[in-house]
Amino acid sequence: MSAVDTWINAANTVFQLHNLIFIFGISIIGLIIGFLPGIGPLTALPLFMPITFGMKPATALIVLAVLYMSCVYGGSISAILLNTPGTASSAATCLDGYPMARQGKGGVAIGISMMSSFIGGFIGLAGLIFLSPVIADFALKFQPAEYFMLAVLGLVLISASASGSMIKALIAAAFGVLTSSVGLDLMTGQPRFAFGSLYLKGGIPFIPLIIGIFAFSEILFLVRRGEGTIAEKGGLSGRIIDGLKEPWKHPKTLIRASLIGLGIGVIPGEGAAVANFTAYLIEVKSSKRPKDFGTGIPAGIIAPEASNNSCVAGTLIPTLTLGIPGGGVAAIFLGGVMLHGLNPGFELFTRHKDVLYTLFFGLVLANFVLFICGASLSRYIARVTIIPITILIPAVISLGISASYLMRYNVIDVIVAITAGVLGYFMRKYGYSTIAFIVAILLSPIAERSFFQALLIADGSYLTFALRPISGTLLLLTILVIVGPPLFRKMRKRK
Amino acid sequence: MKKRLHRLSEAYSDVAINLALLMVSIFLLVIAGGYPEMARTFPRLILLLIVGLTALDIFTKLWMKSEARSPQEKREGTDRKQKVRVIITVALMFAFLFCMLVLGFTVGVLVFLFISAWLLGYRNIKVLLISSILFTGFMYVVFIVIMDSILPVGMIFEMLRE
Repeated sequence: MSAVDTWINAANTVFQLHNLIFIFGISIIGLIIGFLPGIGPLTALPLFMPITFGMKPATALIVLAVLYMSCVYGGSISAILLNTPGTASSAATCLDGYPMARQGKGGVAIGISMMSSFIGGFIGLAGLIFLSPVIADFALKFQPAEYFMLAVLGLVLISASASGSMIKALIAAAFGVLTSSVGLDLMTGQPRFAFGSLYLKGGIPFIPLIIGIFAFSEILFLVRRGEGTIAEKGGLSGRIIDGLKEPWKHPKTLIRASLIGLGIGVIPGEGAAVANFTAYLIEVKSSKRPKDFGTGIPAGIIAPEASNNSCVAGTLIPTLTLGIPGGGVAAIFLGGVMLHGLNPGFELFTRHKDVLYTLFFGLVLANFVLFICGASLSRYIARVTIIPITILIPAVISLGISASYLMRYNVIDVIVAITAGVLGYFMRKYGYSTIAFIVAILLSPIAERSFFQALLIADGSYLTFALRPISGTLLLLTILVIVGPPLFRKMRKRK
Repeated sequence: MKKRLHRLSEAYSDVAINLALLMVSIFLLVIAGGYPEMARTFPRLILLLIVGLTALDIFTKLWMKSEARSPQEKREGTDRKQKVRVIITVALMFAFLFCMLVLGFTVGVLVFLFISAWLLGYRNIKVLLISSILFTGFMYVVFIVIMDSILPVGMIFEMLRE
């Protein structure tokens, strides 16, 4: 069967009524789930997995992948309107999206986000469809030393992008790594920092932690303002349509961020959370007016939004071609692929080509549907910012606590979420980056595992991190990110 | 003079936090020392990093010019009223947990939304009632209809059922 025939067959399958209903329905559900602070694709995918059991493999994979994409789309809406990323992959969107919403331009910010996500999504999908064998080949060159250095670079980049003191951001990141080490050590089975508690031996659950650190700490900051609305000017003066036009004025930013997202997505373990920060930081560094970032400028929304959506497609590249999940959600997706009797890799690209191309076509169509739904529904979702704070606070509290409880039906999880909320409040009050803390928790397991594997391979020599070409380059970049800015500042002062 | 005193108190509060973090790190370092080699290496490296970073931060705060705080940080002075509001909100979080476990998910959400918004100062009963019902409906659809989750029925309703 020729490539054209394969695509025509895929289109025929996708345009069957039941598949169209699934794409449309799951897109809306995913947008809503992604919008809910703390509940992202990592929560939604396992919950939806049992529903796909009765479906044909192509439909099941479309449902899971569309849910993933739509959650990332939806996560940006709450990042812009509530300063609470619905998913970790939208955390960097808060930095300029929220200030723009507070200026009463919530509609414009969402328009920018939707168009950037749409274009980023397409560039990512183009990468997934056409470049997957080439990019996956490069990812194969990564050994544990490279994974470790990549995690370190990710953390340092995130700390460098935090507002305020970099030392404090690094302290927050280090405590994030430490928080992640609570529980049983994966290598030895030794409980660490559990203090005899059975609950702590299982580790600190991530979902309640992220709900507390982001959603509840934001609520505690909001409540200090007393009455009023989230939008300081009390309305949404900007139109979504204005926002939809804005990304076209920044083509370089769009393409650069999308390619960064795609590249990071391909590297297993990194994912959209790192992609959107890296794209944001690179945008700040390459801008002629870096000080404008954080005040609510379009480029500060375009970069993270284009990158996180192209990253979604990027994470599927190693998942489908090599069977190595590009991230946590991709790992769940991989589970879905295997549960439907499909083996990733060569077999999937040859024997089940029809399923794979149906998935690709479905994702392209879903990107259109998400853009249309997001742009048309966000007009109503944007009204969240004109709801009085006194009504919004109880709503977010009930949502966050229900979501924390839902994970394992454990009351202690709720207490963890509330404690994390108080911790997040004080961290923000005293200038410790909550985002660096959370991303560190995400990257820490990969970093620790890769660290030991790299040392084992190198017979205990720490030089392996510096002497391997890719790892050495990453180490050099890490040092540059730490030492570079103060050095440049000093050089500028001398001039 | 007042400005200088304020900057000094800011620097000292930072130093106090750093000292607390330093002590916690040293305590955890001692605990980590008791773990097997493989399990302790990574946490100890991180803890040593924290010790170094907090010491560096203390040094920059005390011996060098006080680091400029970000504009957001500068605004974060808290008056007594704000502190009370923050404490009330934390109490409300625990109150919702209690409501959910005792009254069940649906009734708990409805009652909590209405009462807590009232407590926080919103007085338009009509809007309050409509928004509480609408949001409870939304929560019901998301958690129970879409996600098919099993949420608490409520101790009261369980007792009545028995």
